[in-house]
Order: sequence, then C-alpha cells, then structure tokens
Amino acid sequence: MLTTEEVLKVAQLANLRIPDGELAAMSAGLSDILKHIGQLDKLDTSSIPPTSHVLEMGNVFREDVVTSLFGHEVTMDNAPAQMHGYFSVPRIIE
Amino acid sequence: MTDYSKETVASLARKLANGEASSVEIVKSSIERIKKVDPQVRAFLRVEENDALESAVMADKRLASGERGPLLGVPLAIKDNIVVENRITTCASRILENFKAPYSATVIKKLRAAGAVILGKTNMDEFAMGSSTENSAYGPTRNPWDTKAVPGGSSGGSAAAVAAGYCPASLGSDTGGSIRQPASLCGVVGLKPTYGRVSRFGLVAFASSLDQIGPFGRTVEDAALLMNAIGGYDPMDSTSVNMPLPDFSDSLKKDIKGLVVGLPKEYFIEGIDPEVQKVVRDAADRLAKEGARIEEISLPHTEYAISVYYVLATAEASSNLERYDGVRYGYRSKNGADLSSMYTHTRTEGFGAEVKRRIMLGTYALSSGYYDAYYLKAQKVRTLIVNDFKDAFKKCRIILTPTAPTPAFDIGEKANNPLQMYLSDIFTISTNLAGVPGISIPGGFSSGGRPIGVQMMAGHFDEDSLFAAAAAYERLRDTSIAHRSPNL
Repeated sequence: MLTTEEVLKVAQLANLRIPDGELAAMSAGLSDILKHIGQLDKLDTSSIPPTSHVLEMGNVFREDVVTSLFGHEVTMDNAPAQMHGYFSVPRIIE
Repeated sequence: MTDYSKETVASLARKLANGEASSVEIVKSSIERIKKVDPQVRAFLRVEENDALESAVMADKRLASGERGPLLGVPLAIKDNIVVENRITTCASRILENFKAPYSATVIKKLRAAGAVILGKTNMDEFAMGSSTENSAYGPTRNPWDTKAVPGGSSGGSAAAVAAGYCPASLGSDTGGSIRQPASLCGVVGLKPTYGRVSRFGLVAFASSLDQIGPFGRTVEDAALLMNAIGGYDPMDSTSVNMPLPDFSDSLKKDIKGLVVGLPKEYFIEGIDPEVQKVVRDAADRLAKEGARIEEISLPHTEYAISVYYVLATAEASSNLERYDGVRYGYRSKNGADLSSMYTHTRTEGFGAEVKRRIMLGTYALSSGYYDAYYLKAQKVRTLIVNDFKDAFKKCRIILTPTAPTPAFDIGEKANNPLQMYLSDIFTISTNLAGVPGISIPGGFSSGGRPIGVQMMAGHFDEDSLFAAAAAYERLRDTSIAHRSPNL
C-alpha cells in the first residue's frame, strides 16, 4: 500500500500535483496495480540477465554531419511564449 | 453518389486503375460518409477535407499519366500520434491541443509517395494509454457494431474508421495490443509488425522499446499492401532494422500444408469468454483440415506479462513524457509564478487521469530504492518471456490465440477499474515484450453481435508466415463473416 506521503513524493518527482481530494484514489489505484505487480517476486531471477531491447543490436553510428530537418522559425511556431527568437519562460531566480 | 464503404484497398486500386472511379470521387464519398455517420461513432478527431481533396486531385493526375500503384488515390486514416507536417497532432491530449507538427513521420512520407490520400487524424486513448479509447481528452469513440460498446484501444479511432466504412485501411500504433485489440473488437484486420520493421520516426513516443506502427484493413491482403508501403529501414530511427522487405503480397497465396501451428495452453484459461474460446478452437480445426499441424505448446511466463508491461511501459513513458513542460511546444499553464511551478501546473492541467497514473507508476518504479525491485526485476522477467517465445518457435511457425479475452465491453464498464482495464490486454502484451509480430483477423461474432478476433503470432521478421497463415484462415473461416457490416 502506497502511503499518501509516498504518493506526494512521487508526484513531486514527476512534476505533477495531485489535489487533496484525489490523493486517496491515486494511492488506491497505484497500490492495486503494485500489488498485482508483486507477483513477479514469485520468480527467482537471480541468474537471469535483463532485457532492455529485444533485437540484438549494438550502438548505431553515423557521420557527425549537421543537418536541418526544419528551420528555426518553424521550431518557434509552436512556442507558447517567445522573445527575440528565444523560448521565454517564467522567472527562474529572484 | 457511389457507395465505396465496403471496398478494400485492392478493389479501389483496381477501380482507379481501369478508370471506373476517380480518387476525387472516392474521397468525396468518404468525406460525405464521415459527415453523415461519424457524429455517432466519433472515430475522427480532425478531417482534413481540403488536404485530402488536393491529394486526390494529384493522385488522379498521376493515374492519368499512366502511373499505377496499390495505394495511388486510396483514402486512409491516421492515428493522431503520427505526425503530419504542418497539421495538428494531439495524441488526444489537452497538452498538445494546438501542436502543429513541423515534419512528417517516415510512414506518412512513404504513404504520400505511394499516392495515398490522408483523410485526417483518428481518436485514441491519450498518448496511446488505454484499451478502450475512453481516455481521449476529446471524448470516447464508439464501436460501429454497437455504439453502446467501446471500439477497443488505444487505436480505437483507426479501427472504427475502417469498420464504419469511411476508408478501407488506416494506421495505428501498438505498444501492448493497441492495434490488435481494437481490430478484434471492431471486426477488422490489424497487424503489429516485428519491432524494428517499421520506422518509428514521427510516432509520438509512449514506450520506445515496445511501440510499433502498423496497419488496419478490411482484409489480410490490404494489411499486406500497407506493410509493403510503410515497412523498411529508416536511418532516422536507430532501432529500425536494415534488412530487405519482402513483397508481402507473395505471402498471401502460400500453402499452409504442414505448417505447424501452436496453441499455447496458458491462453485457454478460466476467465476467457466461452464464445471467444470457441472461435479460436474452430480456427484451429479449419487450419488443420487444410493440412496445418496443430500442436499444444507452452508459454510458461504468460501470467507475468501484464506486470512486466506495466512496469516497463510506464517507466519508459515517465521518461518520454518529461518533455511536456510547457516550454517549447504544447500547452502552457498561466498559473505558477516561477519556472518549476509552471512545469507542475502545465503537466497537471494538461494530462488526463490515466496518463498521470502511468507517469506516477513509472516514476515510482524508477525511483531510488525501488529500481531493482521493480524496473530491473521486470527487465529480467522480460528475458524469460522472450525465451518462452524462442522456445515456442522451435516447435511451431505460428502461434494461434484469442486476441482479446472478451468481445467489446460497454462504454463505462471498466472505466473506474484500471487493473480490470489492463487485463483486457492479457493476450496481446507478450508479443510487444518479445518484439514478435502479431495479427488479429475477424473470426466470428458473439451472440450479442459483437465481433471476435483471432490472433496469430510469428517469429521475428517472419511476417511472411504470418500473412500466409492469416490469409489462409481468412479463406477458410465462415464465409458469412466477410459479408456482415455494421448497421449505421
């Protein structure tokens, strides 16, 4: 069972805010799923290597050549706020 | 206006090639049908009428100049997590409500080069997280066969668009069953290719080690025609595999005499709908009569697949979705006086409940102190599941199973029970974990008139055998199935 404190800690890590009214439901929903996931403990995997990728491929290299898929202006078209061609964000330091 | 709603890609291509129809006529008829029927179904988030007609005019010009092609002039629908240059892509999320894609996905470039006409973008579970298309920020899609029912998900809009007769084929994406499960629930064909077979460049990332783009169609042949067009190596996707793409049309007529088909005993368990079970057993009998050899096999770690998936997919999602912070694109909250609180407000207001739940779960699984217990453990059990498939494909060429444990459920039925919803992917998830291809083919109907699909899987890059077996089953199944269509 995930405690309310744990839910708040994870929310902070994920940059999400869980309103007080939804905390209990979030904690119950996550706990349910984690309880199901707990079944993995039945398996002894001490000698099993992990799989992060199913196909046996290593690193993929290419020449370090600068290409441009689309220009600066097109990139900035989607910016929620911009100033002088830069992304603009709220104040970071006082 | 001529009705093209029951045509296939192949039949439209023939009509276009011999001048019986023009692309403009077909596309106009598609748009008319969408306007008439889609208010009930809501498969589309956006119909790009002008774009589509422009492409149709171009296709007609190419046809007039003598060019021919299986997709030239044929209308298709695209799931709204695949980007099209200069057009809105939302992933059915508020956080991307006004996002105009600056480039096109490789699959879109390939479809356009083949002359396909893109009608618009289809509804989905937000960021492809769901099994019912109820998690869309823009409201649910309904199942064309019964509008009280869900179409499945997460590619529910693309499945419903084909089932409702708007277009003969469409594209979806499949991370844990998101093409095959809605195909099953909507009575259409849906294919998840081998991981690495189709470029993911321009597919908005959910779980990068599992995601694949694939086609929906009314027939196995149409799925093969789309695969011919979208498959192949792409240097823009470093996980795409550089190997030749066979012509899958050649696979369709292959004999299945002597083909060994495995029935995994772990897929015929309690809790699976008896009508679903009957359709799959019947499929095995029909394939056997045609000379296939049916063998019982075992995929012993099947019961752990959902757990592994909900650790790995959510962990990958929690990383992939970090990028939605309101700085470079997408929604930005007006609340929050400093940068950090702007991030939090943006994400809290922009993401829906299920997306937040999965980000939370993935963040937890990756967080310090829990990484070994959840993430590393799940990666290790993934190895066991991969090995299950390796062992199974030493004994058989094709694995035959149900696609989904039940026919389409009602809208709202599982909405408040995430674990129950997750379990509806129980038969499709292992395929993604192992990276092997899988296809769902319509196999029958429940007594309530809702479609039931049959799933086949094959080894890595063996889409050839998969198409051969699927096409054989399509010829051998109850012939009435192909003649039924939703009453819209």
